[in-house]
Amino acid sequence: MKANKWALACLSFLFCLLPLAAWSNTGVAFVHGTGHQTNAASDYWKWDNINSIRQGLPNQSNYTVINCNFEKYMWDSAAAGCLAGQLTSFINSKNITDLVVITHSNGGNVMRWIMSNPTYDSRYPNIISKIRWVNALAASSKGTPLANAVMQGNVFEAALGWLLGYQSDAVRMQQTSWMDYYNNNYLLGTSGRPALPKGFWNVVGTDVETSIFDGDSYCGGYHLNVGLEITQAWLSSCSDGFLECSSQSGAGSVWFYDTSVMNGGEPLSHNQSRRKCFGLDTVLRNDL
Amino acid sequence: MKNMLKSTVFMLLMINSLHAEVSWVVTPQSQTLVPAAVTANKGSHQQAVSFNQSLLGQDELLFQNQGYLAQSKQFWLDVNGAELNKGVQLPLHSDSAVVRISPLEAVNNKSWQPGQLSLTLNDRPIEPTVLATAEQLKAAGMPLGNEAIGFKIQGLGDGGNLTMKLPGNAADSGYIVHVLEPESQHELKLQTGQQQYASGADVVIEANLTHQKQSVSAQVQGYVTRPNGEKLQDLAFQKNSEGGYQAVVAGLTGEPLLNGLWEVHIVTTGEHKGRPVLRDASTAFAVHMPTAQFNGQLSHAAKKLSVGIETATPSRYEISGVLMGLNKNLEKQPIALMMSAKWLEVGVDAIQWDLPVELIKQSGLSAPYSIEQVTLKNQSLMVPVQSVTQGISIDALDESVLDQR
Repeated sequence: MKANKWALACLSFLFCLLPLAAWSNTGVAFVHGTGHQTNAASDYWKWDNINSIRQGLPNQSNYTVINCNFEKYMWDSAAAGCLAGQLTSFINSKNITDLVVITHSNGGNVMRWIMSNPTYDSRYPNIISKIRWVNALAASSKGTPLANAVMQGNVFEAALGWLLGYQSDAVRMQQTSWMDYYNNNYLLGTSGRPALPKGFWNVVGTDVETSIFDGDSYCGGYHLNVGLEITQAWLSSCSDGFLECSSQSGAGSVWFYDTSVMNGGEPLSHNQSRRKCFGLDTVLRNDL
Repeated sequence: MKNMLKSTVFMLLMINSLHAEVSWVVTPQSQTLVPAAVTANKGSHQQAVSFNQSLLGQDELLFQNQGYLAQSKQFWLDVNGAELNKGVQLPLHSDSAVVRISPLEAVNNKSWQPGQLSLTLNDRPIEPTVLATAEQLKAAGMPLGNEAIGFKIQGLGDGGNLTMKLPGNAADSGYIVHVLEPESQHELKLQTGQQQYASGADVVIEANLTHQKQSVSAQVQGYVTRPNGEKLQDLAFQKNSEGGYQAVVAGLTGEPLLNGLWEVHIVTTGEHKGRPVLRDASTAFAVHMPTAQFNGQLSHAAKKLSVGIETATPSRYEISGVLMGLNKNLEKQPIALMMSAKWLEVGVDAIQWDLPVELIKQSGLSAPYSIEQVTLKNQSLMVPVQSVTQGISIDALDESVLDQR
């Protein structure tokens, strides 16, 4: 599968003819999902995961962990604007010429906004030019019925949810009918739409294991997965507990389905795909 | 002297423009422009940007404007604390259901405990197979208030009347009960005729409650909300010829979509085996906001193609279109997605595309070229302004244009 990624990159840029490491300065950026992060390294990705993945870099200091407000709509200055600012600073300060972006969940949408709308902000084209590819972990490319569940059906609840702060622009945006509109009109890479300017490679989580007798359930936190077992009922049989497989593979290309690559054929629940679980960190490390 | 120089430059541009015959296939329709009632924030990143995205080798492009089909096997109820204390009746019609209860107030003093919940189906006690607290649901990515709970029940056969008791609530406190029946044969379908409407067009809404994929009778109520979430108007549904229901909203005019999309919300009630069948659904759509328009002017100079625009509201605008050429079988093939944007003040101006000369040469495709799906968007207000499907034809590009030096 990785061979396919390189083959496509070669076709696009002819840089396969050159020893890449000798000519480029590779960096990796970690882009979190929905939420307003101020310390995503500790709170979202966990340091053991980041430290494991960045071992794949020739220069292990060439990494950045993004902290932005992804409660906002993807185009908002606090979301894509913030992401563009932090990526630009990283690229400039480290002189990065070959950028691998690792996104999780809604972070994939914000990254795809930048790649699909290069004229929206004069910083976007330079970022796009530096990207080798995006590794999108459990991307919510086609939204999720769970966003429908909490936003629809009762306007009073929705209005109150806004007041209480548990329903955000990002949740509203990830309703399936909304993402369908944005995919057809603002975002690239879904079926029938122009392709994205750089590869967008999906890692798809297909199931949730919650047995208290199975130690694997504990990776990423057992109590998190109990919730996933309930939320999975809103979803089709192939899902990571938050997103259906069709959403996770809805834009770009499938890199791999969890059970085909993870240690022991384990599935990756939505929370486990941003943690050091079942060898995912090693796969991402070897891809840098 | 200065005028002479201007004239000479103009003449040179005109001569150059003869090297490529460029015209609209169909002159863009004139629109009634929205006066500058909305102020767009000019912001700090208003530099003009052009970008060509290669589409060489791209699979078939589909330009769809079909409304999203929302399918629902769920419903929501408003209940108060007294009703929850006494027991809320939920009519179910399938072997399993997932139920979520969310308080509407954030000020309740104590959280519910799992043991407090009691359930009976047709007066027989049953136990949930899974029960999750708000913390567990939130950790799974479901954004809920702090005292919500969710549970799953299975083995219900073809359903029945579920009575759900959760005592200890203040009588006048408000709750939302949300029920999903994933295996139900009763499904509500909701769809708008298009995903994007021209300003002033009629929005047609279709609703259909089905049982085993056959339409069934239902009471259908609904309303439309504006992009800011406010209710705009109720919908009057009438039975259509296919056994479903249709409502029409006439003459919506565009609004900024920075804060979201237009939405349709419907609530339906059918009947099966003497019990009500409840289903609710929502879907989203967009309406063009003509803050500017293509004025029909096109000019070509050097490697740039200039598209004239009349602007009523100052904003950052983007034009985009798909450049196509002909292969040896005279079939159209995509070359590039051309995008260009800049800030436009009120008046007449133009946005220039950079012709993707390298991609045209690389494609091996030949004239006549065309630019299809030409779209004008107001980036500052996140709203579509005008779309011209057939777009622009370019009869030929001569060697001087394709010279990459």
